[in-house]
Amino acid sequence: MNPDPTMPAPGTSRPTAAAVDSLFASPGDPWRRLSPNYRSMRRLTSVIGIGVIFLAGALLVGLLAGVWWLAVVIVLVGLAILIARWIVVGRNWQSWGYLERQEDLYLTHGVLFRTMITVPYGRMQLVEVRSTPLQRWYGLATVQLVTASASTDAAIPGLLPDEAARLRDRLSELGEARASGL
Amino acid sequence: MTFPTASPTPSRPEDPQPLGGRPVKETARPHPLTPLIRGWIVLLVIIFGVGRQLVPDGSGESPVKNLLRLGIAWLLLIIFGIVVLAAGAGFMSWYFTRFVIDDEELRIETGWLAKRSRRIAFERIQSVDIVQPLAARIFGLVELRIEAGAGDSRTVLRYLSRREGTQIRDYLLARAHGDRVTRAASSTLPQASALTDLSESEHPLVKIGPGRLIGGFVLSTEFGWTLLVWIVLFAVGAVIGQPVVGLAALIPMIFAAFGLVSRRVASQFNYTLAESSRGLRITRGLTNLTSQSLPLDRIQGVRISQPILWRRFGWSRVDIDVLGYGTASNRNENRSDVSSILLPIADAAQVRTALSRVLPGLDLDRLELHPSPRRAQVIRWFDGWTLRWGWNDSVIASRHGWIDRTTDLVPHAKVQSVRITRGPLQRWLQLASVHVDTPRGPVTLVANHLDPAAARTLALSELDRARAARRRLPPGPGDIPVLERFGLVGVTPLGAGGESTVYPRGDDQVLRIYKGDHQGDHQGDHGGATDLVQQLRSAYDAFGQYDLGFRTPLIVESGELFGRTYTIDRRIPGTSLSAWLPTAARDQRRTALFRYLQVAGRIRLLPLPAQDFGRLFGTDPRRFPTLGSLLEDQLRTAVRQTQQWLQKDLPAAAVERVIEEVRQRRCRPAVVHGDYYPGNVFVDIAADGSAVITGVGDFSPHTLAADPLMDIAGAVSLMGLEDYPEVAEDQAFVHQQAIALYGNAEPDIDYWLDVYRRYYAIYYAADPAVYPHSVAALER
Repeated sequence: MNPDPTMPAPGTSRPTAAAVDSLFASPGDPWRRLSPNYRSMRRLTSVIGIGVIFLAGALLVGLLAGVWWLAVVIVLVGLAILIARWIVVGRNWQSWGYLERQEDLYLTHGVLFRTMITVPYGRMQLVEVRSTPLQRWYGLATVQLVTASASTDAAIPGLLPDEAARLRDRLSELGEARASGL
Repeated sequence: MTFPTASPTPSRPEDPQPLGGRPVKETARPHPLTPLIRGWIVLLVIIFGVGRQLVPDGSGESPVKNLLRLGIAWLLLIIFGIVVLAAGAGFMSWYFTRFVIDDEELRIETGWLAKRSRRIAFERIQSVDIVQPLAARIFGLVELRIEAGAGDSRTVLRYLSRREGTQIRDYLLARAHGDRVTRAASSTLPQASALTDLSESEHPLVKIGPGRLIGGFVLSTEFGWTLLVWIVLFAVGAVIGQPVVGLAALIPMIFAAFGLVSRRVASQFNYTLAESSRGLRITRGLTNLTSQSLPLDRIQGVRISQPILWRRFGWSRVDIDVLGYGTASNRNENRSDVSSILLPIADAAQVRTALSRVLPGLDLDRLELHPSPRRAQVIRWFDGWTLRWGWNDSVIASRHGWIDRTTDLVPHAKVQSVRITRGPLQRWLQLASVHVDTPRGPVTLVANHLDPAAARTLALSELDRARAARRRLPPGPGDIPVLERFGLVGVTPLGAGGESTVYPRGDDQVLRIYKGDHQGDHQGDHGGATDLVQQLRSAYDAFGQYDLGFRTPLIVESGELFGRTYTIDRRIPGTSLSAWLPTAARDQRRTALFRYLQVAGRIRLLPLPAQDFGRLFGTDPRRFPTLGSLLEDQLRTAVRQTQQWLQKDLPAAAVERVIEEVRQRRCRPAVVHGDYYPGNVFVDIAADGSAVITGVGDFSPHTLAADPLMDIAGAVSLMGLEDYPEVAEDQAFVHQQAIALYGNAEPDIDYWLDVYRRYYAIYYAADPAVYPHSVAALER
């Protein structure tokens, strides 16, 4: 593997902001991103979820107790949360990235708690493509990798079905070619 | 690469008992005392359960108290009924359990209403353990547990006589390792003793006396906490003037302590770690004697923990991750059966002894561990100064903890995946953690709170190390006993082929162990490997008379051990060209490859026993009148195995076309190595700094008396199997040089190189690693 040119050599003094970002930088080509449909889907579920809860709360307070000013406050709070959620979903979507390299699959995600996981092809026991009804509605699928370790949590959500099928075939082919005993 | 005629037995009919074919086999039942013992165990469980319920636990009413009102006579009657029922069920299950364990199969039939027959392939057996619960032990009976593969597929045979149980265990383990021993032969093995279940053929590595066990228990952290809680409760009780509270608390404490004693002392009693020809074996237990076979290649990680009070004495405890054991229950040490404990308590020397078997080549004292930055203490205020991480050639390690100092080790070859994580606090402090994932078990390796640059370097370089380690070959199945005889356990093989595995023996010799002869015995030729060795030995001696500028192998010694044929060969200096090519610069590679091609042309100069075409070595060294008939026979034998795939993946005429083409070839017979590719050629750096070919190894059943052009064609086309980035470019270079070197003597060389390219593609298609290349080559 080529050393990352943007990464400072170990032993340099206090890391700079650039060095922190390079911690999760792609080890080669730029990260491949998820489909924007995934962002739309997560936003829709957020809107429905937050909307239902707060509107129901507001109506309850307004109709039963007649405290309409409180209902307005609840709706406003709901709106604020919705806006925050909207932004968070966008940033979360942006944080996802995956990359197939010669020997391993790299996967990164998370905004507050960032993770970069690397799974060698030879360690994959199973590659599966899943999709929920909602995902299908948006034309999306999830590719899940399974190794002998339960803590290898490598699922790539929000791929277009063609890309998901391609990735599954490619990964299982590579996994077979490089499979090594446990 | 596999040799077409000498590879696995033709598939046997699936049905184990064809109608009117073989006679119906005698099946055996477990020992007739089995139902009695199962009833007895149920009685014990009831007594213990009721006894526990009778103890006041503060809640007042317990179901047992209600039961007691019925009167003691009724109660005894109920218990008696339950025991009789259990014994009855035990009897039915005993009556309908039958098993066959013989030289052909392992089959167990169970079930009374719903019948179930289970046949386990010997190769799939992962481990065989013997458990002796007290009740069974009194009658000299044992329980056999057979673990086959990951997942919940444990098969239990209970109960057998001790003699039969240990015999079956030894037999199954031998078969699981690929040794073809017979039931009759394994019954003559030395018997295991009743007290420790170790036989004379096993020598103990580590023994832990009861004194150490009890001492360690008293000083253990768990016991310390239990005691502390009780003291606090008692003190509180005394202060508020009600010492009864402390006394009442004493009773659950005693139960907790009792549980601790039973798992930490009684179940580990008489602990012995022994080494046998089949790996390690742990036996332990005071009342329930457990004997556990430890599959060394299945150990995924090691955890060494040192509670604070043990450190003064230099004691530590060693746990291991073993695939399959973790799934039974997460904290299964209180189960007295298989467990993940390697050493319950041991001093430094004993730990070193055990680790030398589990992770050969690891020197813990020389493993350099780096501390995490000081700012990690903001997050880990309680033990931040104890965080360490490091790695060496064989393992990656992390250490943490102050009260319990814990060191986790994971061999590079067992790394499943690598993660870098960073939470918000870590982001603020400029820290990141690296996790190395392993299968479920006690080991969790995390290099916590590193400098981000160090974390990234560690994670990415660990992937490289893991990849390199995975490529390192494991020892051949069943080779361990032979290796042990030569003192070579833990040595990484130099290479493995279809017929044998090769291990270095000093700088001058190699030990070659042939695969067990069940591989070739479908034609009834036991000792196929022994014949091959004899043939090779005389041929190598003849080759050695000639100096052609490269070495050929020489067999120094040959023999048979544990049913395996082995030879000691002179080691050809240098490394295999295959391993060297990816490391060399372009110009060096070109020099080496040119010389590799020259040597391919010189193999024809080796002496032939007779001026005929034919196979030289192997189970069927026949002569053929013409080159065409020999090569046709070679191809037809090879195609017999791959037909079904080749027919699907290729136009039907591809094979026939090559046969037709080679029939047109006219030449004089000469020695053809037959498997001339960089993996069988050795390279070294000469005094002037250039790469030279030192020798050609592994003449084999592929070796022929045939067309000398074949090795040149093989040198070109088999090179395509090498795995390094510039291989296509180098192959084109070799091809071009072959035409330049040999084109004068062979005007049609380009055509014949193409014919033999397709010939090799078909011939080696049976090897799954070659097959995709073959199909690609034939489609071209």
